[in-house]
Amino acid sequence: MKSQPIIIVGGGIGGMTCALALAMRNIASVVLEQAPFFRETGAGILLCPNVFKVFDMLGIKEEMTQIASFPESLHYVDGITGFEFLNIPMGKEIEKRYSYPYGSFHREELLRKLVEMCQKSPQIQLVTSAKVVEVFEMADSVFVKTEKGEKFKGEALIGCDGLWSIVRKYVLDDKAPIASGHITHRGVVAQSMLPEALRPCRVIHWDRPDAHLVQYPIGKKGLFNIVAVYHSAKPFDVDAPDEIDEKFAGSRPEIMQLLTHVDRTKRWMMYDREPLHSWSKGRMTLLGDAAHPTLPHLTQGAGMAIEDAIVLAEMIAKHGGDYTAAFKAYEKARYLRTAHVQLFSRAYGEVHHLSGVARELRNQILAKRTVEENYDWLGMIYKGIEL
Amino acid sequence: MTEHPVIIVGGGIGGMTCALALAKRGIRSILLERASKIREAGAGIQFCPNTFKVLDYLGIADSFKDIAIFPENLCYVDGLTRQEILRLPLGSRIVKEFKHPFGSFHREEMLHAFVAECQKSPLVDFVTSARVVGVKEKHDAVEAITDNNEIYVGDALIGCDGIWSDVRKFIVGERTLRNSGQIIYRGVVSREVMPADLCLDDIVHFVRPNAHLVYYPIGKNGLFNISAIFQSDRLPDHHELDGKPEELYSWFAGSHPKVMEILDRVDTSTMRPLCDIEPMKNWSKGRMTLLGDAAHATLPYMTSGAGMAVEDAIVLAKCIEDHKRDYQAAFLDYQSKRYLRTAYVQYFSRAYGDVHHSRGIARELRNQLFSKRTVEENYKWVSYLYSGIEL
Repeated sequence: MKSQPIIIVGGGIGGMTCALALAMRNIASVVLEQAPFFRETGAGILLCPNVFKVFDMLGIKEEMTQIASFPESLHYVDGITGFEFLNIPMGKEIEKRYSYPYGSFHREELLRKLVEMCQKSPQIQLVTSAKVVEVFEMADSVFVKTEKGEKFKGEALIGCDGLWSIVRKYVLDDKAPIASGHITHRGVVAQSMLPEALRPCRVIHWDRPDAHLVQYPIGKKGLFNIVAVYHSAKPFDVDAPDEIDEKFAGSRPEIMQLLTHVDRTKRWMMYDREPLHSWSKGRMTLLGDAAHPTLPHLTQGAGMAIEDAIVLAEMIAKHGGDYTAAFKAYEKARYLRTAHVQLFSRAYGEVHHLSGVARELRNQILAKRTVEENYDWLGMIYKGIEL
Repeated sequence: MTEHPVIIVGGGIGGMTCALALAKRGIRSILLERASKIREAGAGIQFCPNTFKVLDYLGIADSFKDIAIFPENLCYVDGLTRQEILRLPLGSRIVKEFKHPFGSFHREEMLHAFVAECQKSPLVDFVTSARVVGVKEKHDAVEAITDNNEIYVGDALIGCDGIWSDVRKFIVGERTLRNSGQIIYRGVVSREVMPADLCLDDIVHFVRPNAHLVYYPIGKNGLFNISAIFQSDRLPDHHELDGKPEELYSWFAGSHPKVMEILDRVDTSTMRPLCDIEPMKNWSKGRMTLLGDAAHATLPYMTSGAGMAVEDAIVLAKCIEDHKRDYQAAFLDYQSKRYLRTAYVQYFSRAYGDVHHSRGIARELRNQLFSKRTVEENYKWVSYLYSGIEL
């Protein structure tokens, strides 16, 4: 009997990487994407050395390197006084230290590259306009039904469908994601529009009481992403364009200028979930944000999905068709590392938004850290995983 | 112009160190203690190397080393599984690392050593049964009025009267303490009473979801201090309350049998809610200031409440001298040199408490991250605190 493909729900970064990781082990998959074409929301994405390590394992490091730019440094600046309390060299330095670079991408371009590579693989079938509305698990297979009434059958199913995962509902009996109270506005600006001092290829975090703003380059496009985040205790209402001004009042002129480039008409609430030990059931499992959504403050959401993908493929190959065992081994290998990202992202968010004496203490403590200490700290995540 | 002594309110560790630090610079002081005799709440106390550094600077470290015991290790053990997750060598190793020891005392004994040092000094006066109920700031002096209607006149006044400080009210107003929701039970037992198979040369923290238990030797008399702390779901607003053993045991349910065995040795007749203060930058007004817990009370998890008080004392004395007894300027300088370091202890003690009490996956992650740390990394972690202040 010819074996069925594995069904991957969700054609984002996690789903595509998962398909590639399976294909590398000669395992066929079908990727079901609800949208009529593959797309990503958000403009830029930062990927740390641990992610390039996985790209290397997948044999796609060269392709990825071609479309990335490599920020020369990572800065944390007090958003009220302009005092720079952290300046961590990235670029060649970080590559020397962790064997892999720290890169910035245009999300759309990154996904397009992954899609292209999937299209080239005879093991991968990509299907768009295929919104999954029902999932059935059988003794030896999994069926899904899409909104258009199409049916797909697979040996197993992997939900890579993000924070608002549909597959998760079939796997876990839990509540909605947790609203963090951190609200974000985004914007994209041409490098040439930025003040001279802010144009270099750097990642700069401007931290101030109750709010922060991050600017970073987007791939090789000559564009910068501006992400403004503030903490709000008010009920979330999509149309509240003025709260951002209130929260950022009194900031450094650089911040005020960067804020002119964000889209005031759209704001997003940031969500996460409590870490779990297990996110599989029988022949179904989850990957990336669907399993362990995190706040973005460690820039490791996509990174964890990409790491998940290669570990999952490895476990499936190793357990030769025993999906329950494979998924158990996969969760066991992943839950602490992904929990680390989830829990530390929450803490980082708090640290960005400190006020009063705590803010002064943060600035003092972090300013005293040596470059080596900072690298050791980043190393907890940047060193990446072993298979 | 007649010169008045500096009035020190509170005859605890902070107050006496302050008197000694002032005496070293030739400044006279009078200590007003509300109790009829000097005493300390609690049984055991630990001095980190930075505290010994201050005692050394004051030339009194030897008196304290004579009555201290020097634990071999600081250990963290998971209270459910009894798996060790962190070990910081103390003993001679910590002296090599930070030049000064890590010692543990019987509080009463340690306090008597301070009293003896104060009695040796002709510049320190001691008055007991004198609770300060009012203060009056004059143009060139400050008056303290006690509950038996005596008036003491000083060049300045320093409130060293602890977390429940009266003086704080006169300086920063009614500032309510922050109740952590954490409740502590204590016990003091002799070596023979401790379970036989425990390592009794170490300070051991058993950490478990919502609660932890610490035991450590105190002084040279073979006594042990046991503290059992849990994160309660209520906020009793009293200093000291009758114990509720069933509540204590319910929070420790499911602990490793060894933890329960030690828990059986705590005194369940009394419990205390643990409070601290929200860190502040300004705790002085004119000729009045605060020192130690009165200014920056902390949760006990970095064992640095007393350490911060003795550091305060010598910084304060130096500022007074540097500013040629312009007390107002001296106090502003003093607090600006102290508020970030003391805030560090306050904030990180809160964080330590939360880390001790981690549950679920956060607990597993803590155990994993701590277990991976090298001794060098752990020394680096404590070095900001243990290296002490520049003297």
